[in-house]
Amino acid sequence: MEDFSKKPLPGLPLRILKWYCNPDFHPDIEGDLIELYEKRKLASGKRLASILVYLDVLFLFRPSIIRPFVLDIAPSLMKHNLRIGWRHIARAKGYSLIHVAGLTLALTVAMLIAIWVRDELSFDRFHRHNDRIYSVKRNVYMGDYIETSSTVTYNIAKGLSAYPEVAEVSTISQKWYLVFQNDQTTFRSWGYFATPEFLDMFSWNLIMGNPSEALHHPDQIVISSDLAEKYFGPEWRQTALGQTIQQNNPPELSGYRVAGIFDRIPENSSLQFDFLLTWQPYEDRNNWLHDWNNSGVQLFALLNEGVQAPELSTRITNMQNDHIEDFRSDLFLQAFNQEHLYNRFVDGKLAGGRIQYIQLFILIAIFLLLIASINYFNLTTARASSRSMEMGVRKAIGAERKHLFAQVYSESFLILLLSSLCALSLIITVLPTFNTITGKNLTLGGLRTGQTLALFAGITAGTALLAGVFPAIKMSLGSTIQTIKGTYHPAQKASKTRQVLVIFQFAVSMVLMVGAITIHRQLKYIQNNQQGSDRDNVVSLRLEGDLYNKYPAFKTELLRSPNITEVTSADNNPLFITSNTHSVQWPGKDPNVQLDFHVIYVDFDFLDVMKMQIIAGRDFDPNLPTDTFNCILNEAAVKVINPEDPLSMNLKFWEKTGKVIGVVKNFQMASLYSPISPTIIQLRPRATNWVLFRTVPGRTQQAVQDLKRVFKTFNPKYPLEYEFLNEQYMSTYRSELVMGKLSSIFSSMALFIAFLGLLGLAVFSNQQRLKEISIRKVMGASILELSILLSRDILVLVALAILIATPVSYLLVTHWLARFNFHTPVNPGLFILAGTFTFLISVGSVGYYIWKVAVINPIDALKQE
Amino acid sequence: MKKYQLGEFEEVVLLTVGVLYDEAYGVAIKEEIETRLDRKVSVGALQSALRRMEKKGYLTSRGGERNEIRGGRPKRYFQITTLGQRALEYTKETREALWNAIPQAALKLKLD
Repeated sequence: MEDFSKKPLPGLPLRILKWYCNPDFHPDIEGDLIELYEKRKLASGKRLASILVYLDVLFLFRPSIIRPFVLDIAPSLMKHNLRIGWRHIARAKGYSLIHVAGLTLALTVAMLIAIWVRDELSFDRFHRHNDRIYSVKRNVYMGDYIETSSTVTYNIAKGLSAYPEVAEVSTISQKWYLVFQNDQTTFRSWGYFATPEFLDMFSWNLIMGNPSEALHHPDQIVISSDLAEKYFGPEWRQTALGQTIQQNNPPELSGYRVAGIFDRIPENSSLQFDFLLTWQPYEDRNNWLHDWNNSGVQLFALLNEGVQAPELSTRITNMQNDHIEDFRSDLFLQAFNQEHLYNRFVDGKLAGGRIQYIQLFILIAIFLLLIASINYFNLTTARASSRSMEMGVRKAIGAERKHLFAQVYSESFLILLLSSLCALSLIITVLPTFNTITGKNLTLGGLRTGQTLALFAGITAGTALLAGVFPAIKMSLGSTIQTIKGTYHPAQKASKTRQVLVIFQFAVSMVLMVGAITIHRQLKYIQNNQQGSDRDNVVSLRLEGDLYNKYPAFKTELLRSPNITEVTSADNNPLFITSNTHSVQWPGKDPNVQLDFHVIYVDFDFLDVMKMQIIAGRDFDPNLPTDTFNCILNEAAVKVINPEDPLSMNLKFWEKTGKVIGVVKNFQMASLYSPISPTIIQLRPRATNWVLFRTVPGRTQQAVQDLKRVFKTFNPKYPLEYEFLNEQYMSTYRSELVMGKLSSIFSSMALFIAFLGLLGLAVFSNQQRLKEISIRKVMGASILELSILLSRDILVLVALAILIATPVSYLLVTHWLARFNFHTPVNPGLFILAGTFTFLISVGSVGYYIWKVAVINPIDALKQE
Repeated sequence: MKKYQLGEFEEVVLLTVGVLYDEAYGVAIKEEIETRLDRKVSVGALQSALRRMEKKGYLTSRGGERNEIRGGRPKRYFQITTLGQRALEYTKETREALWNAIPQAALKLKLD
């Protein structure tokens, strides 16, 4: 080594080389590197030369050059190691339990997260050409922000397939439902109208029928095996194909010929449907499809091999803009297999989406494993001095360092083995619960058992490395004399590290806890947010089939029930209005400003059912037939139309003109992620398709019974499916709910594991100090003084952890909450709550043992000598 | 069938060792290949090829003198063995046989 000190050559890469290089080759390879370095230094300078040395050393790491790997420990010694390891584990049952419990929990969580992540990443990848399929999407300019939409105008389909880069284009409609009826039941199923290419481009597993002939004739239907079984019974494989399937929902045909049956769509598909109908009749009867202003289909393009999608994406940008005037809508391509993970767009730019949750959970898994590994490290190194004598004797009779290393490591190995077995059985036990929470159907077995086991083995091996190596290194160090004399105390050497690690554990736990509390508060906030309307006790059902024409009678009949107070209908979910338009006209409108309005068609009594508050003007009046097409605005709409005198303005849109007769307070009409938009409530009962009614609080069940009875007489051909508005509302925040549950589980696990570690440390250090305590007691120390003395060290660490975690978690939660337009405030109480809880947990872990030590009889401890 | 296993890069290295005759050590071989063939050679790739072929018996090596510029590290000189020579010849022959087997027409087409 002394050679390098003269040479200004980076010593580190050469040391790395020496470490891994086969000793036979080492001198001359090192010589080569030095020679090259000198030459390169002359040619191109010192910096580059140093960088190149690093690169060379990196590329030299090859099987033919690295040190041959020899396991030179005799099998009998390995057996011995395992036996001794087992004895140590069995002797210190309490400590072993702490290790195994912590590692088991961490491994279980890590594994659950791993299979969840694997499932998420596999989304939409089962299609043969998934890497070449792209969705056409668009950025719509809404005035002051850009909204990204996955529905586009059908007119571009033809233009798109004209590009030589595009192999095929397929189109599907919005989700559509049919109501099937056989001898036994009626049921509703969802599917799409699809062009024939849709079967070709994607790899839906068509188990019956000819894909090249399906979806060509107006009366053809391709159905899922589930639907086939439901309709045709268990014998569907023999009977279904070519048969006619009866359905009740006009304007669709009443009978369709089954032209194909596909296997159930895998759960990791983002497109889910039970049937496909031929596209042509849908196109024929929907003229709006050919209007460039309308967008209502999903388009997919299969690109040819080797095509640069981003480049093509920039060329198609203006395909729609060239044909429209009053708004701007830029088209772009998104890789189909990325859609599921990268689904959040902010202002026209990709801003993550599910992938962020995935990254977060991977991070949590790593942190949990770290926390559990730290426990192991801390407790083993702390207890190492008690085994110093054993190590000394072994050394004295000829054990080399690697033998000691192997011996200590085999103990870690046993602990890990035990923990992984426990974890495996725990995973099997909790997997169903995990599936319920995440809404997935994950299994350990099935086709990918091998892969799953490999994953598990990988995680365990990684943890074994993490947890086991350092204690083994620490304990195998130290000279023979020191160790045998008992003056080698790796515990003291590692005590700084241990303190840092304890701080880390508790800081991470607290950050997780703050996160979990924030998510919970936000969910509470979402749940309690009743701005401008009241969604409790409101039931919704479809206005379909015979119900549509008999609606007035149906309404009267429902109102006769004592359990139902008001009935109305609408064409949108009043809490989630999706219809919107740019083309609202009124006298005096600035033609240069593009304004976007949300529109909901309603029946009379809408405001009463939703409990919205009129702040100016009046409600729609059933006694005034002239009220049809008249409008009620929300405050946001008044602000942009005419703040001074909104009433009596005439609004024209979608070929109808109506007068503004009232104003309501702003109400929650879209996701909490976005601001409240200008909204128009228009009286247009014949254009509605949802019935909404309010029940008497506490009499919901009776109201539903009444509904069932009435529905049966009015609409016997349809299955009754009703929903509660508040449940529907919460279900739009499903992923937040899942996040909330999981994060609280994970953070409590983190805290629990950290708690276990602290408990172990407290027990150990108190045992060490038994004599000290006893002497102090004899000298007259009070229990309080002793408690403070004993707990001080640990509690200072926890306090430090809280101090560190507070700003970190503050940044994280404000960042997360910022995505919501409406969110719960971040206040000091949050951190005080989490901090106090963390502190209490740690006090709890040390407190009990401190109490125990403090009340001992000093004689017992002192007479042992 | 496969009497001698010799990859393309290995062949280049082996030939270069021959070219350098008595002066074939790591850096020299690397530079020779880089200038003659105009391709980058990493120390890692070269060294692993050398050691691999030494193990196969195509090369032998001897330690050289220590050198100031090399930080006092010895050079290791490589030499082709008889087996290595046979491997080279075998490769050359099989290539030639293949060349000769190509019909004239096929090559003309390529040239156009």
